[in-house]
Amino acid sequence: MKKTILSAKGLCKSFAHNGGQLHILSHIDLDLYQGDFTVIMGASGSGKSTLLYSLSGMDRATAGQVYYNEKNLAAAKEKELSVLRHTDFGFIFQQMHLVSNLSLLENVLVSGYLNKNTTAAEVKERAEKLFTQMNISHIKTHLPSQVSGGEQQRCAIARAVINNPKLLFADEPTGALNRKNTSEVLNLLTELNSEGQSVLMVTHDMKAALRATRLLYLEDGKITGELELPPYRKDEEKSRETQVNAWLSSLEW
Amino acid sequence: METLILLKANLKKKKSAFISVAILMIIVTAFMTAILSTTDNYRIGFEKAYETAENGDAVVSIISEYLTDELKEKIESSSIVKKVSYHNALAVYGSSCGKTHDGNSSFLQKMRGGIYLYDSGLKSFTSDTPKLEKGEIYVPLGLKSKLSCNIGDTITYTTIEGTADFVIKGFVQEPSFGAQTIGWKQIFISDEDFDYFYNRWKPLEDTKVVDFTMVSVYKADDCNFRSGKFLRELNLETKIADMALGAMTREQTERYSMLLPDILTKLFTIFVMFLFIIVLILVSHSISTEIESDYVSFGILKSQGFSRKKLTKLFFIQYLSAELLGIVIGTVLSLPLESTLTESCQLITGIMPNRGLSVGKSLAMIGIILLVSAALIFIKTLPLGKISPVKAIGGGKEDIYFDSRIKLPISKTLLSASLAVRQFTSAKRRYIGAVMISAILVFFMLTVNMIINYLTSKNALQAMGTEFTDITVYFQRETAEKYMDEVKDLVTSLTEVKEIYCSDSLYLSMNGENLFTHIVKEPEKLSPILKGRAPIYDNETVITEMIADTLEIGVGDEVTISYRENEETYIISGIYQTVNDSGMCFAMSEKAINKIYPEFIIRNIGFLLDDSDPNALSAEELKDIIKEQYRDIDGVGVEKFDIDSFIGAEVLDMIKLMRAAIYIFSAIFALVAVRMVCTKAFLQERTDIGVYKALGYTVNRLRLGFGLRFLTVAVIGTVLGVIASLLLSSKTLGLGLSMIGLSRLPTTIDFVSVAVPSVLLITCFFVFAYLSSGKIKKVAVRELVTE
Repeated sequence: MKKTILSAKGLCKSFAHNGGQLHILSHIDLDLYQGDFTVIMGASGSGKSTLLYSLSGMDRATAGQVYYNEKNLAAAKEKELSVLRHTDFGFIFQQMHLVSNLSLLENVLVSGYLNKNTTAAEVKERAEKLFTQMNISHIKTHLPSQVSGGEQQRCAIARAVINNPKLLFADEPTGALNRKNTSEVLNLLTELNSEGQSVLMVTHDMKAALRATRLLYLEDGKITGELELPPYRKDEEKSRETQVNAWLSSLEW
Repeated sequence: METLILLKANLKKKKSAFISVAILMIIVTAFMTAILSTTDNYRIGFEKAYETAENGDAVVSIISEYLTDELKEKIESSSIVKKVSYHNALAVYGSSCGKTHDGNSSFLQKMRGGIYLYDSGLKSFTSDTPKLEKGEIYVPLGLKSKLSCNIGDTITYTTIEGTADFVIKGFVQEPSFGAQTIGWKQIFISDEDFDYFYNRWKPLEDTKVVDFTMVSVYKADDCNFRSGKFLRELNLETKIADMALGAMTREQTERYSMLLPDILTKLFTIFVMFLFIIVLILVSHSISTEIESDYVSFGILKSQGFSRKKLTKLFFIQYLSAELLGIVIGTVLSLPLESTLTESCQLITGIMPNRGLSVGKSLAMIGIILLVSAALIFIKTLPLGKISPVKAIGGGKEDIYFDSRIKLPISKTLLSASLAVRQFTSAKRRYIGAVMISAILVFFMLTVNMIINYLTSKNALQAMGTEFTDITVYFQRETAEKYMDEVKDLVTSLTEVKEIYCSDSLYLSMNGENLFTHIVKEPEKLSPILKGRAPIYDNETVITEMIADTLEIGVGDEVTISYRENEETYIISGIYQTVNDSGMCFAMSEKAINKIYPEFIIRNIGFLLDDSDPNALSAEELKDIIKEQYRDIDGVGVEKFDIDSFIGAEVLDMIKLMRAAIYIFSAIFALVAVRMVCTKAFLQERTDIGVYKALGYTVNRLRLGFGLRFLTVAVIGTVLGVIASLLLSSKTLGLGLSMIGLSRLPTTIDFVSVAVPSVLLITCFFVFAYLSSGKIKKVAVRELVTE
């Protein structure tokens, strides 16, 4: 029996548009489970990123509730959400969004230092370990502008997991990367997931979707399909791709 | 048309820069116009007053006995003299009203034409001047603040035979000696009183010290000398000044009357000029960041055929229209400001000023402001020519940060502070302007504190050449010989005394120029000696820098000093500094003056008490003891030093008002500068703010970071401002105060004088930055999403 980590009930999100309302998400009910690598797929404009940000509390839902540890994030105060962001949640963005006047290591440290339960030395030690794991130790003192996109994104992953988040949100983390870097970043996310890290990722990239243990398909603001998969293994990638392709075809992807 | 569309869009988007520039220009214009107009109004007022009062180019007060027919004949027949008028006067020595005392001499005279009576509001003159009755007097307006007196108050004058009381019937405009800053005064009494005292005092022994004639000498039409040179030449020809108690030329009167308005306007002008520099720094910063942040837009506009000239025109219209708006509003606001400034100077100058704005000068100033601004805008918009449309379309915006060698580590304990420092060090260029602005503001606040310290600190006054004493005992010639040593023994037996000064003053001629002369018993105590040494021998004298410049003489030169018929050659042994007679002064020993005035003896003894002993007698107690001891002896007076009356309550109030104005405007400038820089920083760092929020940074923590960043800016600026003040304030003040003989000033900055403006500025920067960063609330993390 999987343990629910985050739960959405009747989640709606609308934007004002040309004097009317544009409905992006429509009454979504969704549970995310601990240890899963959940991937949300869908066509452009289907509301994937909006769902991710509404679930993570980065954006406020128009209606409905998002429960995390029995707390409704849709109604949480800004300060409570701030605490969640540096204790329980981690974020990876498509455009990395590293702070450009901080070195790679400092970008990770500024996030780690917010955690009141760890000392500065502990944060530094964990950051060093993550840099080794991400294979970017040699460039840790570089500024973001001095490294490649892939290295920046690996640093962004390290920053996202520095506080041992319960849930890692990733918004198209490979969207701005070339093939080689994409593969490296996905490997890292898979590795983290295999170590027990819960991940919710949005993507429209098939290669990225293959890493999921659970695939959700979003269409016109509603979840119209779901596919459970075993943990990713490199040697099974071909058969996995066939399975996912078939599933997507059934959803008219 | 296309320029208009872009301009409208730009103004909408950058209204904060537009408003900031306009506000700053309002302040600059309002002050500059008001200051220029106030000075002009007093100059015009003085000219008018001098003409209507029928004062000559030189007014000489001379003991009537010395004004012989022969001397009169010589003056009247001089080729450089057009006409001479004589007014009888009775000299009285010292006056008091209530608790306020003034030791200077006054000349009682019959009321005459050309002296106008102020109405109760001091806004105009009465249509006719009521005749004075017995016991009534008209006094110059300058005495109102000097003696803190009002209509109906009684003024007591010390006369040759005791005291005489008069009731003030009104205040008049007397332009030659009427200013608060001039010691002697011409007082007008009824014909009846004048005749009564004249006939009563005339037969008394030593009457010559009472019966004076005020001689007004007018230059011949073809005489091109300035009034100072005119009197010098006339004195060399006739010895009129040598024979006089004192003389005042038109130039001197104008200089002394306008002293305070001139000093204040000079200092304010320097302040306003620095404020204008701040405006230029802000405009320059604003243009640079605008070009930086709108790089893509400008590139696109260029790709659509907009030339650099057209884009530059946009900046010209945008910033010059903001300045023009500020200038228009500032000019309107300068009207009440001019009125306030003019009114606050009236009690000091004693003159009825002209009213209104000096349109010509103001327009010239506005022209210069716009010209300098236009030149700056042109220079700052030159980089528009380097914008490449291709690079811009590709999103080729320059990085907003720059690599910095100063890399303090990010600390967990001081996370907000260390991040603030990093934001500052990696975008230093953005903050250089703000640092410069805070340095300028601190410099000015410290400088104005220094002025107040000069005027309210005993040590500073001494350093400026004032022989500062807690208590001074005045004698007449006979009593000085008899009692001075006795008083000295009495005081030293009663309390600890730090220093004793025996000094006196009179007017002597040096190379024909009638000058205030400081006579001292112990010349080695004269200070500060700026060059050479004290006049310790009986053939030596020291002069001020102002005299050295006026008479074109220096250390080692020989000068002729004369008193009445006697004259002697002296050597200038040094240059010293003093505020006596606004710096038109020289000093010598008692032995030295005795060579030309053998019967002269020093009549004043001053004591500087040792206040380190808590059980020592206070100056007040000592004054009472001396008063009691010599109660029955005429010709012994005692006075306690009161710094307020020494400087003048009005002068102190005005300078404190100036400090308040500089503090307030510094705060306003700090607010505008911070707001402008903060808005730009906010626009440029919007994404970073979103990132920090996504990492869990609260709005408060981020705002605190903004505040701390500007606090860093203010701290650096303050340090630079303090250093600049230590190095330059004295020199800057020297420029403004050289007209009163203070060209070299001691640096007198104490902890409080530094701490108050520094804390004020740093707090302003921090609070204003914190408040300006309220927009951080509006940055949603969602803005980081790429859809």
